[in-house]
Formats: sequence, C-alpha cells, structure tokens
Amino acid sequence: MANKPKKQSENANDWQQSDEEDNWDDWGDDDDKFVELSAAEEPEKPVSSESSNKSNNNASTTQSAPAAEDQQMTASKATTPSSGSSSWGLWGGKLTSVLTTATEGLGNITNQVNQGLNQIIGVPDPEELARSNVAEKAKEQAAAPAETEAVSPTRDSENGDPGAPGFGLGFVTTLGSKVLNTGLDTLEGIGKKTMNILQENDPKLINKRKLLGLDANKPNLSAILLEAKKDADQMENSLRQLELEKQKAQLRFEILFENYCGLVHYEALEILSKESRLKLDTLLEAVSGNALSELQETINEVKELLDLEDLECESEGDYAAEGLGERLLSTIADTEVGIQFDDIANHWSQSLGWLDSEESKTADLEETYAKSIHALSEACALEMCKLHKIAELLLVKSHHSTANEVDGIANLCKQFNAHLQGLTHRYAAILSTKSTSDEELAKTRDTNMLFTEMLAAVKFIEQAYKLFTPILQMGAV
Amino acid sequence: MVEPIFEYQFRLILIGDSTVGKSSLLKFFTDGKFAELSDPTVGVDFFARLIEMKDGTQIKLQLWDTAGQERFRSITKSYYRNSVGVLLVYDISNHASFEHIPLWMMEAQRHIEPHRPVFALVGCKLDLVNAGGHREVSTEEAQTFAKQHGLHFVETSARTGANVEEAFRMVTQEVYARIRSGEYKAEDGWDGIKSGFARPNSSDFNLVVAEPEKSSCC
Repeated sequence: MANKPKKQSENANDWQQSDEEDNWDDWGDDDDKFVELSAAEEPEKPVSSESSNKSNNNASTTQSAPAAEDQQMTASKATTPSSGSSSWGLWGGKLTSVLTTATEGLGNITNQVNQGLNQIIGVPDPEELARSNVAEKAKEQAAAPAETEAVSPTRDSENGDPGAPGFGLGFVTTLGSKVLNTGLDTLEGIGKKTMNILQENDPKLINKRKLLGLDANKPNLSAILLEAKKDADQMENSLRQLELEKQKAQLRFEILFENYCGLVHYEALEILSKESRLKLDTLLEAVSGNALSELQETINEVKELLDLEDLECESEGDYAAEGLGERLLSTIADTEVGIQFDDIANHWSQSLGWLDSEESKTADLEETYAKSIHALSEACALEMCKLHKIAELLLVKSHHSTANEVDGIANLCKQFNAHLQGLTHRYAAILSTKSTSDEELAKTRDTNMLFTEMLAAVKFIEQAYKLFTPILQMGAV
Repeated sequence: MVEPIFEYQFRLILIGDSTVGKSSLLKFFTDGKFAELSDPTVGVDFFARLIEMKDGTQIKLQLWDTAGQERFRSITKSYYRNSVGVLLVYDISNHASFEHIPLWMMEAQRHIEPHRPVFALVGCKLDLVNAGGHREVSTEEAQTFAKQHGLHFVETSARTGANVEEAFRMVTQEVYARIRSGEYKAEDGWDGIKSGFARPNSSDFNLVVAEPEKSSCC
C-alpha cells in the first residue's frame, strides 16, 4: 500500500515523458500530412493521386515538407485530369466504389420493395407500366399520327444525348441522399423491430437478463457501486459527526488537565504522600514508650493545624500577572524551598492578554468556551505541578520549620483556589457578553459548565492539600 | 499536547547520573528542540508523546524524567514502581556515568519488582564525540555490557537528534511485543501499562477509503 502512490507517480512521470516525445513526433508528422492534404485538394486531381499520396507519405518521413509538395505538384500535373469525382483525392476512388455498390444495393432494395409493395397494395410493376404506357401511346399514335411524328424526334433527342451529362453530379447527390435516407430508415427499422421482438411478452427484459445470466437476484455491478458510494457517504458523515463530538468531548477539564500534565503531577504527589505515610507507620512501629507518644503528638498537631485551615477564598480576578506572581512568592517564602511561580504568572498574563483583546470580543461562544476551559485546565495543571515540586523539595529538605510550612502550604492552596476562581470569573464575564437570542440557552449552559469544571479544579487542589499531611508530618518528626 | 486516541499508555522512566542529558533527550523527543542550557530537574518532570507502531497501533508514552542529583535519590525511587520501560542513560564523554549504570539498573529492578520492565542502555552526547571531543565510553564496551544484561543499546545525540527516536521506539516496540505475546497486560493498581481509547472502526474506514481508488482503475 505504501508503495502504491510512489509507483503511480513514477508511472505518471513516464507517461509525461513519453507524451512529450510522442507529441513532438506527432506534430512533425501532422505538419507533413497537412501540407500533403492541402496539395491533394488542389483542383483537377487525377485518380492516380491516391498512389502518389502513398509515395509521398513515404517520402515525407525522409524529406522536408516543401520538397514533398513539389513532388506532389509534378505528379498531379503529369497525370492529366479526367473525371470530377476523382477530385476527392484520396477519398475519390473509395467513394466511387462505395457509390457503385450502393446503387447496386439500392437497385436490389427498390426491386424488392416494389415487389413487396406489389404484393401488398398491388402497385403495378414498372415494366408492366411501361408496357401499358407503350400500348396507350400506340393508341394515341393511331388517333393522331401527325402530331406524334412531329413531337417524337424532339423527345428522342431529349432522351438520348442529354442523358449522359445528366448522369453526372445530380444523379450522384440524389442517389447519395437516397442511400443515406434509406440506410438510416432501414437501420431504424431494424432497431425498432429488434426491440419489439426482444420486449415481446417481456416488457422489462427480465427474462432476457436471466438468459444472459444477469439474474435479478444476483447483485449487479451498477447496484453494488451505488451501494458502496452510499455506504461511503454515510460512513464519512458519521465520522465527521464523531470528530465533532470528539472535539467537544475534548473540552472537558479532566481531559485537558491530563493533557497539560496536571494529572500526572497529582499522581506523583499521591505516590509521595503514600510513601511518606508508610514511612511514618514504620517509624511508629519502631519506637515505643515516651518516644512513641511524643511522635504521635507531633503528628496529630500537624494534622490539626492543617485541618484548621479553611481553603475558601473569593476572587474576581481583578489583578495583574506581576501581582499574582509576587503574592504567591510571598505566601510560600517562609518555607524556604526556593520555588518560583513564573510559569503561573506568565500564563495569567497571556490569559489577560486575550481577555482584554479585540479577539475575545469577536470570538463566538464556542471559541470562548474552548479558551476558557483550556485556561482553567492549564492554570490548575501548573498549580498542581508547583504543589508536587514543593512536596518533593520539602521531602529532601534537611531542616524543617513545620509551623511555617503548614502555614505556607495552606495559604498557597488558598491562593491557588482564589486564582482559579478569579480566572473563571473573568472568562465567564466574556462568555456572558456573547448573547444572541438563539444562543442564550447555550450560553447559560456553557457558563454553568465552566463553573462546574472550576469546582472540579478546586477539588483537585483541595485533595492535593490533604495529600500534604503525611509529607509535612515527615518533616516534623 | 497529545490527542487522547491511543490504544495503550506506557509509562517509561529515565534514570542516570545528573547532567548526562536525560532532560535534553526527552526535550528533543517530544519537542524536536535542543536547549543549550537547562536547569537541573527537580524531583521528576513529565513529558508525553504519541508513537505509532508498525501495525498502526497508537501508543501514548508517558515519560518520567527523574532528577539525577543525589539529593533527590530518596524520592525518585518512589516513582520507579509504575514503569514498564526503563532507559538507563549515561554520558559517552563521562566514564563515571557509565560505571554507575549497573547501580541504577539494580535499583530500578528492586523497586519495580515483581514487574519486569524493558531496559535500554542509552549513550548521550554523541555529537560531542563526533565533533572530535573526548570519548570515554567506547561503543564496544557499552555493547558488551548491553549484551551481557540483555539490554537494548543505542548511542544518541539530543543536539543533532541522532537515534533519539530510535531509543524510545525500540523500548516501546519491545513492550508492545510483550503485550502481544501475553507477557504484559494492563493491571489494576499498576500504572505501567494502561488501556486507552481505541479509534472506532478504523479498519472499516480504511476499506471504504480504498474502494473508490480501486474502482476507478477498472
């Protein structure tokens, strides 16, 4: 299959090449022929021009066109003119022979037709007619011999001499049209008759199809092709539909969150959290007595601290990218993990750029919703990445100030949630400007959907926050 | 971004000393770009790419790029378990990085058990050596090691892109072959192999497309 197109193109190339070559040759030949023909069409052409043409054809392959023309001219002059019909040149000889056979045939046909007509409607035979005519003339002659004597010589002269020139063109043309007309009529008659016979007792040719092996029950080629085309069209339509649905299905937070690598960061954070929990458990098993109760106390303290924090936060998203970046940095500064929030700030400045641009005003509902859900998913994925990184850095840190860390993580998660809300509010505001009467319903649906998805995003951050418990506890003990 | 049309998702992990070129290798594989300077990886980073097998099966590779730095060793170990393929990465111009390969391999085997992942040995920075730089690990030496331990082996350059695709493809092909033979399968509670969304009626569609072409020539 893979080779096929290549092969085709090769073929095409070959074709082109040979085409070009052929064209050149053909053009050359045609030129020669054209000259010959024009020469042949000169008036007063002899019958022998056919043979001279042939010789010229051979000559033209080797000689140049003018030379061939010269030869042609001399040849036509040498053989002197005779009959008019031969002026057709190459065609002349053939045409005359066709005409003679045609006349012979016509004679036969007219004879037969006449005989047939005689039998049907009793039209007298021409010979009989002639005989009766002669008889009548004899009677007339008897009645008025003087008159006929005066007329008959002129009639004889008319019938005799002028007959020869009259045979010329006039006869040929009438004969030609007669031949053509009768020929066409005959063909038409034969065709009609055939169809009549074929369709006798079989109006739709069903029996004949059976005879030919074209069973009506068996599939035939045209039907198969039609069906295949219909199927292909149907398949194409359903595929297009599927594509559209898929694109819409793509615009889900879950899917986009995964595509932006948010989910895998969450999964990695989960792994770290589980790992830390296991380590804590083994640690608790390893110690006893006072050490155990102290350990348990610390672990519980951390848990209580984390549980106390409320992640609820409202925001309208009315802040600049620099402000967001600085705020996030200051929130986590005390935990001393040295994390940067440039990517989140950059993403927000890009989002703001779109929100404040002309593009957001002209974009249609679908486009705006797509932008919104993408922005939300990417922001959440970036935040999840940060939380994961912070967890990793906390785990490899040697000195811990757990109170600061708990505070920092809690505040950061709060800020993250606030940002997701602020972002959603800003996009929802743009969505709500897209109000055409028929899209009103779709608009409310999309806006609701966006807020639902935002809640899903917030939930992820909250769960991530919970995953931090064992990680922070590890730092404390 | 990766289209969610794939039959399987494989999780591959890259391990090896720091600065051998794991992140650069992945960046070229997923982005087609090479960065002269890059920050050391913190913990683990993620990359994703769709790759097509010879039979047309689409496979999503989820690539875990671990930090090579010693200080992250304790946490990167936690990430090994859910991998079905491991790329052991060393620097051709740094023999120490090659000497540590057996340690990396043992570490991975220990953490991935009971699963048995596909291992590949990947030499990086081939461009430096080709440009007249000092080679510290000969191809034969690495080849011998790979044969001894039954590893796939390839030398790559993330700068020129040489063999980068090849390195990931051979691991993916091997994992896929093991799925076909029944040795591997997607399991609950293990994320090395996941089933994805298959394209509906893909074969039927191909037939329909091919038909008009056929009929046009007769």
